[in-house]
Amino acid sequence: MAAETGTPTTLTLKSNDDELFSVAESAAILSVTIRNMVEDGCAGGVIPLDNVDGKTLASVITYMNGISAIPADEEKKKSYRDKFLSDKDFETLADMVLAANYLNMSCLMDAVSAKIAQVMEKKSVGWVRRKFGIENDYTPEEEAAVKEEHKWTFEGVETDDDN
Amino acid sequence: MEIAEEHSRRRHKRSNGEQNNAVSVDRLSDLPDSVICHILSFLPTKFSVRTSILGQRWRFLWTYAPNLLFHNENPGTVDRVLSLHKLQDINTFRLTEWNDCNLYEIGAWITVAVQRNVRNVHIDLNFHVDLPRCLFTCKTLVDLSIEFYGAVPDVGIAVYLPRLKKLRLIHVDYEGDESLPHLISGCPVLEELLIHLFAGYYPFKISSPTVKRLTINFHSDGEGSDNHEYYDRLEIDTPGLVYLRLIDCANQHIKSWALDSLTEADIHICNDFKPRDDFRYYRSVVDFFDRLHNVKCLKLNLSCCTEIIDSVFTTWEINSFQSLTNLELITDCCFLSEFLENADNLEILILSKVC
Repeated sequence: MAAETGTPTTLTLKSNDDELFSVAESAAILSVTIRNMVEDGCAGGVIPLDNVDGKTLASVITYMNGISAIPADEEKKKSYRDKFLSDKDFETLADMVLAANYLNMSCLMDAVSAKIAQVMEKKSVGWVRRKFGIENDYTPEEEAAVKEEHKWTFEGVETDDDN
Repeated sequence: MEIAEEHSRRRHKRSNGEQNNAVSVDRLSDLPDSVICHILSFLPTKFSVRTSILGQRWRFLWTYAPNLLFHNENPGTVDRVLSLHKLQDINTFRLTEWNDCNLYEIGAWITVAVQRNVRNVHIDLNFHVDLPRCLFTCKTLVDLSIEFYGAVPDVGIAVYLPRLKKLRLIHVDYEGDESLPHLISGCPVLEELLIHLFAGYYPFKISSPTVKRLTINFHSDGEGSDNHEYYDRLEIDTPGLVYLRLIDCANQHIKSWALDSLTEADIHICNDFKPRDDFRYYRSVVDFFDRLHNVKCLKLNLSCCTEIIDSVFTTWEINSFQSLTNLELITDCCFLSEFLENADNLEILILSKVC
């Protein structure tokens, strides 16, 4: 471990499209999945991350490096997370939430989930169905019944699908 | 989770033939239910319930979202959501900008949340309500925020919040003079405390061995300052404090015990009253400043009270601020030379001169 030798340990991560990334162990172990591999001694060579593509992994590593460089100050970390996610489109957020889930990174998972929720809140039912790949498998009667059951949730809601 | 397994990996074909972003969309439709519920938990409950219209799989997913966030809904709606919600443990229960409803209903909802092992409670009401007593003995509560009109119980009412780490009390009512010390003494692991209140209540003491971050904001009540009958007195006894933010518009006396762990302080004293006893007041301010001697970052705003500046400047023999690296002064320049002589390790200085 890094603490014993005094030099930072570097890990090599491999995406599912065979891109290789070097990252400091101290930053990478923000992922519980990676930390468990390190603790189990599986991190000697290359760590394969089968559920994350190179583009997303590069982004996650940028986040790992950025957030681990901030000392224990929750406000500064939050402000970093907000800035980090501010320019990400919905598809990138989708990839990030899947990666954060797979890598078991709760702080990234929370931040991305909150951002997705924030986007969803302003969108129409049709928009969410399209973006989430949801087939409307209700019969018209069923759909009307569900809508009637929760009609308070459709009152006073303005949607904005363009942004 | 009790959600049927066949739903959790269900794959839906996209129906509109959209080609771009196909990978993301297909993978999103594969999201495990646990991830969807996690996303839903960040939505106000009105919107998470609305997702039941999306498709069969989504019909009851919202009932497993661990947060219930209500924003001035119809009372019957809250009752219904609580009865349909299936999780035994609620993570966050939030009522915001509530305008009007039966007081018993609010109490009943909070009681349900407590019975479901709630961890975070945020109540923001626009009318007075006696909060149910069980809220103050909730063993699972980690974060409690009460804004406007919720009342903190008096001594004699059991208060014990063994896991509470974060407490925010913004313009709440206190049933008695000792309500606040009583509440804080019932929080053995409290780390973060934020209090906003209008001036003119009573002697105000904050005593906790565990609090690390403290924000106190005394607002002036805006009714002029010279006619105050009260004698406000602030006392801080928090030896573990690391961060202090104090905005004080009202106290006639400030007393602090040792703050040796304090590394960051943001102090804004803007008293617009005429102290009853000038000398004692300025002496207390000077003694309080001396307690800040270990800070690394100090922001000191005395822009609204030139009288204090003059008095403090003439009576204060500044202790050595050896740890001080960042200093922001919003005050008369006469302070500056004093600090520069006593802060050998100062790296950053921001000076805003009082006009």
